[in-house]
Amino acid sequence: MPNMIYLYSEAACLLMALVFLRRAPRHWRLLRPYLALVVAVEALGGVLAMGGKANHHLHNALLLVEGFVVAMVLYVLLRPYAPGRRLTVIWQGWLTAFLALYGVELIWLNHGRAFNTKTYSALALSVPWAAFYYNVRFAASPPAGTPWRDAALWWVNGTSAFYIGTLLVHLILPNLVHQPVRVWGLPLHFLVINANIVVLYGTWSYAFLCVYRRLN
Amino acid sequence: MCLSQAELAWIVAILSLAGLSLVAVSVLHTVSVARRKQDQLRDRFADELAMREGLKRFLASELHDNVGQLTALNMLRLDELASREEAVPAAALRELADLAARVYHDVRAVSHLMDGGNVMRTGLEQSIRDAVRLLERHTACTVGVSLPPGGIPPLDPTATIVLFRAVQEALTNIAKHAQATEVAIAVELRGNRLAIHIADNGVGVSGRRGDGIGLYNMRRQLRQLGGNIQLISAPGEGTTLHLSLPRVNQSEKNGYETHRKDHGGHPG
Repeated sequence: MPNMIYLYSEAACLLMALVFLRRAPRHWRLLRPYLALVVAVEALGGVLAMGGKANHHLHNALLLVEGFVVAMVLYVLLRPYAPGRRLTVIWQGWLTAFLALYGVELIWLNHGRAFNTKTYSALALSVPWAAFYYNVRFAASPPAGTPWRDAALWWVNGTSAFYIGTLLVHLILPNLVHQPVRVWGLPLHFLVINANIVVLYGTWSYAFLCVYRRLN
Repeated sequence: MCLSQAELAWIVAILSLAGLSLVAVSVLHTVSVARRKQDQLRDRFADELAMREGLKRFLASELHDNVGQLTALNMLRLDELASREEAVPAAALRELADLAARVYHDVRAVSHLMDGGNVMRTGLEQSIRDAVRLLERHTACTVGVSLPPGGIPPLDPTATIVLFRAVQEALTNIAKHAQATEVAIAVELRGNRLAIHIADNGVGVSGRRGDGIGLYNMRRQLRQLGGNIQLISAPGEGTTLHLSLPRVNQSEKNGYETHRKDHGGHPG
């Protein structure tokens, strides 16, 4: 089924993570339960959607974990380039702000009736800045080895590409859902999100392979 | 202006694609800059390694050819004196003391020339004179040194070390291979450049030997500082080495920094 391509990508990426990250450092291994959760949420969300039931509760719960995991991995990957306390303070501050925004949006703005778009946007706007900083520092003092095989570079930029590519779609998703423009029989916004998901999990899978090759 | 649903959907799709392309370009740029940086680091490491190896060779050769020979001679003389039954004459003891003093001075001179920090402290001019003294002591060469009026101006520390190591390498090559009897070192200031010419009347070098690793390293190090090196030689007709480097001396650099601090901009 072509409309399940996002689920296939996530499952394939989970499989890669299970195979390649067995002996990887802890921050990489953290992505294995996270990806398992993503697959479970997407599968269950799909079932609910097919039954005509709302699934935003699931995605809101996943968003909380997503924000923590992405921030955690970015923090660990940026750490070698930003020694000292400044990065830790920024990271802790960002997590606090993220949690606060999440709570405010869920309780007071959405009343639990819709997806936390504002919290997602905050995450989607933060990640590209972290990726930009990573790229600048990476180029200035590249680690030993071929840059094309640097797992962190692929992970950071794949994540950044996903958030840049899906930010606008998420912001105007309610408008697009009501009267979708169809291309090849599928809604255009759905295709855009799927393309971004394929890029995200494609780059993550390659990053996991790079981690494996570095360790073996 | 109000956009239709279809227009909005397409704009979002195009912007999303543009975002993906932007990230792809960013990755390409990052990797390309990182690779350039890696190449530079590799070159610098190779230069440092070559310089260190050159210094080790110089040290080994000095220890073997000079200090070792003198110490061996001293040992022989001491053995000979120890086997005598009559009293040791004062002249023989003086000769031994002279030999010991030569060993001491050689060790001091070599240690002085090996130390880059020492070269920076004493300056290029004094370091060249020390290297010349060492060459004259151990070869049959007469070395003439001509300097610009007022001497060599203080240079950037890196430039001082690189130029001195180049002169040192040239003098070591003369001592080892040239069989020269006369060497002339001329230091000139040409506008904003400092030039050093080292000429000898030795056997000369063939094209192949002239392109050796020592010359290659000298050239690369000088080029990194905007300098140049040229070797002119023919078999039996001696060798001339021309070194040149832009003259950005320490005081000018400090003046530039002071100017920037005072005026907050580029000096006009």
